[in-house]
Amino acid sequence: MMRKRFLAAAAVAAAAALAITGCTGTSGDEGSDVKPATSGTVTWWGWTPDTPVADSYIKEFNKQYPNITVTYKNFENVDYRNTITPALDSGKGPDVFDLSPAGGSPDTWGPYALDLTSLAKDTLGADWKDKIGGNYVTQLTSSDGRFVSLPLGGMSAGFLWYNKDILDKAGATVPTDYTSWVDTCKKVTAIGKTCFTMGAGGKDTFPTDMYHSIANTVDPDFFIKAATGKAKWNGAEGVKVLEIIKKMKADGIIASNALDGPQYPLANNEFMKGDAAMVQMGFWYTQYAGAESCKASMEAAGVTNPTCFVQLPAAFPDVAGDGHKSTFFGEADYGLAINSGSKNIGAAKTFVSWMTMKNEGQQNVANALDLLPALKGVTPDWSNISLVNDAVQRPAIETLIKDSADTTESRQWQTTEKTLDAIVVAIQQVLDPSVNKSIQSIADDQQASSVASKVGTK
Amino acid sequence: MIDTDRIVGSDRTARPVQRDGRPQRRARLLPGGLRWILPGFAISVGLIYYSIVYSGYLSFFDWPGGRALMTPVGFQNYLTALQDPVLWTALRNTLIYFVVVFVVQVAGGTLFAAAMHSKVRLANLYKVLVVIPVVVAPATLAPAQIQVWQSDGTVNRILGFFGLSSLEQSWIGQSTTSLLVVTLVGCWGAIGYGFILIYAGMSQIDPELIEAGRLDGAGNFRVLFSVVLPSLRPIIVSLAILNFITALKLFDNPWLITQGGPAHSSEFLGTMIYGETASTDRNLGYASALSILVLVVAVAVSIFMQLRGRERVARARGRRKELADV
Amino acid sequence: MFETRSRRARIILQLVLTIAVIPFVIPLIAMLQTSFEGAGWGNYLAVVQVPGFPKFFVNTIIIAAASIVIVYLATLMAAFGFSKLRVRGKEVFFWLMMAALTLPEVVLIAPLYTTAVKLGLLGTYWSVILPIAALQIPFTVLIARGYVDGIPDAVFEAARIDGANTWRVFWSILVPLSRPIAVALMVLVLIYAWNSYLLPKVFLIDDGMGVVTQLPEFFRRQYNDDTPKILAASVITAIPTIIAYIALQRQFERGMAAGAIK
Repeated sequence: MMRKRFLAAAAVAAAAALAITGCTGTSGDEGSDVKPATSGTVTWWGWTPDTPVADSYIKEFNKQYPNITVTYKNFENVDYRNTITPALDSGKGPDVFDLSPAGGSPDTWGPYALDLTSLAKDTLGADWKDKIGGNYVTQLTSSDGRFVSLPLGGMSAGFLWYNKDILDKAGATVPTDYTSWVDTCKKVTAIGKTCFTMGAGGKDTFPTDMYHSIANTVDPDFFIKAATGKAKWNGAEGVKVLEIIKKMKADGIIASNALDGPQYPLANNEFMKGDAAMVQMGFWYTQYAGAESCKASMEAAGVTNPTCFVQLPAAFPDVAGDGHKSTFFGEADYGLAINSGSKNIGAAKTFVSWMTMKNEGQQNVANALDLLPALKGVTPDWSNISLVNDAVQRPAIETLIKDSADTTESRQWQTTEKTLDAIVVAIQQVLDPSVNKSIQSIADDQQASSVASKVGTK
Repeated sequence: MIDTDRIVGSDRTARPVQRDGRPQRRARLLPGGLRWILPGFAISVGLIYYSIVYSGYLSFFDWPGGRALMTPVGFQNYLTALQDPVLWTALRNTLIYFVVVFVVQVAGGTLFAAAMHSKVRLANLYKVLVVIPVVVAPATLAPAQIQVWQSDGTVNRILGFFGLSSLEQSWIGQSTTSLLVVTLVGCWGAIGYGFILIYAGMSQIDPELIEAGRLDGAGNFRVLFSVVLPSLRPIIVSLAILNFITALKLFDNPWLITQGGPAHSSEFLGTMIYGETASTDRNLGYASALSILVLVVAVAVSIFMQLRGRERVARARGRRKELADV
Repeated sequence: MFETRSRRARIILQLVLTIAVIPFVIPLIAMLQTSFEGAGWGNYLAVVQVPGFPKFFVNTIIIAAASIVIVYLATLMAAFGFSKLRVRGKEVFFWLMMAALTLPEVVLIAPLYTTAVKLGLLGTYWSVILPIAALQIPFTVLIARGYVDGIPDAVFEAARIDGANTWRVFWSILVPLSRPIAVALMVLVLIYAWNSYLLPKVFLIDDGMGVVTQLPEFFRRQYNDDTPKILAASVITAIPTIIAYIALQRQFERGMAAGAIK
């Protein structure tokens, strides 16, 4: 009797499960013909930007379109992925949502979004693809050729940021190769500061940027080849990268607390507190050269009454010593997608095209010094930006922007998450004093755990 | 009047004995119990079982979520899981965590509860301090814990202060000590939790029993072992089950402090499942398969613990009867 | 419970307790310390100035209160049923309930979301209250059942012989006698509901429905969180639970004194 009741209940539940999952919403481009509207409400969900930044973008938008109300909801990365899917499936999703190139997102969430090709054509003209920088359009196109997300901005990495005040005080110079780096570090540690702060603990993939930069000095093509399965992580180059990392720790470049935590907050806080001379961060770190944001981030790191230091970018030193300059790498950071089931497609189209394809919208992105604007030809309006030290930082940042825009190598777009995780694990095993494996066997394990990416290899 | 230690509860295996030694007929249970358990059953099973069935269904597919393709893969996800060395590391970590935290929770909880049942000054202050790790969410305390275990953190500083500098190390950053950190943080929270429940459970202990023990000349610790702990058996068995399930699906503290690292050394099934759903190229089918494995292992071990616990209750009650007879 | 006849024994006990409590206090002090870094009291000011600050507390109180009431009733009834009443296939029911404890929360989100939409509960407090209750009931029933097992059958027998029906027995005997464990369990349910983060985050997205666990989120950034303010927010949200715990402790003491079997 009990058993029957239980089995019946289970069967009902199973049937319900099948019925509900079988129920897919509409996936289509019916919204393509809807014209951009000048009034309405738009809900926007994303893991980025931070709420205060989004609110400032929206405020600017409302200056031109006062009758469109936009509300932004910020989610932490993982919460976002867990929430957006059931929300979109049940028809309760937002009108506009973030969609990035990472991990096949265009294929996972693209089917919920409109194909924005027509919107782009209408706004930028027939040559719209040439007006958008980088490889961003390809990166946000799904495998069935639908352009599902308009890029808001891109990012670049593969360089260092240094605290000029510390280097000056230590009488050290910006390192350009391995020996000069060891030398600089000796001088910096002599005045009681950390030389190169890094947080490689946990699961964050920031350490892969360092691997990538070192790999580029060993062999400029190695990283992408290995990521896409055309080379092996445990080949001679890969082993050399790991050996260099090990040496960097032994020679005092990488600090002994590198595994105490992830890059945020460990490395960030150390740098922002003014306790470290150098850190490897990407373009998003440019914003802390600003006079106000510098103070805010120093306070967030726990400094009372902070005085800002001068932060400047530097190329990653040629640690392999073979004369290969370490090049930058980057890709679209994220774009905005329009929910094809939205009831406010018109207003959404106005908002999205303003943010991503209009000069006023992209100017905001450029001025924030957080992303590289997707629209070509938009540069920061320096009259509205005050840096800690304009004379020194502004030319450096302008060069950084130009070099970043010229980069053709991707950062994580062509690397699967499993590969990124394998790199992090390998770095951790190299830096962990309690691990006794040989570099070759660490590299072998890394190769075994990696999964080659097929993206961008046609 | 009613001799409480002569009558056993709803345990089926033991038969109570009357004073003249003849077995007493079992107190008849009232019928019609179903409607009493139904509300609780309906809420918990009703709401959660859909999720269990859904996860079971998903575990036979490869699926990144959203509108991407759901590829049927049969038992592949389970096979991959069972062949993954990280899974076995996680299970080993679960076992170690469970044993250590359970023992510390019962020992620490009982000692604290016993102390709080005694005449102690500032009892209320101690009660609050012990419980704060329970009250405040793990996400809140994690940054403070991370600080404590850093290479330049409190623990290393204390070691240096006591002249044990050679023991200073990067606790979080070494694969040999990362599990230790997670386990100690777990103990820290578990003691207060155990205290709350054991303190309540102690209220059921007949003070006459304790008096009897003292009259027999038993010291504080003998009383604890022979009288108090056996009476707390049901709670202890329940705590064993709860601790095992918690250890199996453990997520908060390892994720916040070490994220399962370095190099998976402090990985648990809970962090593996979360890591899979958090990843950009995730396979929700794989995450579901891991969840089903958690469910199966949890239920199997829990049933085993409950059965073992019942035997011991019967034996312990028999033993106590002997003690009282002497 | 510990007998401390001599002055020396009392001092030793006090000393041991104090030393034992020290490891508990260290992270707490670190937390308080960090919450004052950077802007000092300004951190706390920033937290209190978050728009809609009181509403967060109101929402959390509503959710916690409803969860506690539901769990309290369901638990005592179920513990009574499992322990003192006859149910066919009792253990099957019990273990089916226990299985509901084993799923990690993150796995429950998608199916619970679908359920909430189908039942029309999305955006209401029920979408959070019911899952919280569902996840706590197996645990509370497990503990309460053991406790009620320890209440001698004879007590219930005596009441029945006096002519009370099952309901009377429940209200007049079981409820008062199980007060100590019920209070303990409700404290734990309160803490769980108060600190619930994932469920409200996903189900209570509308403005004005936020709960206190979302207060620290105002100070989280994509990369560098404002940790001092986050900790200040956490301190502020933890204070009500500590006060509630102290208040319930007193309830508990009274329950213990009144619940003597004899």
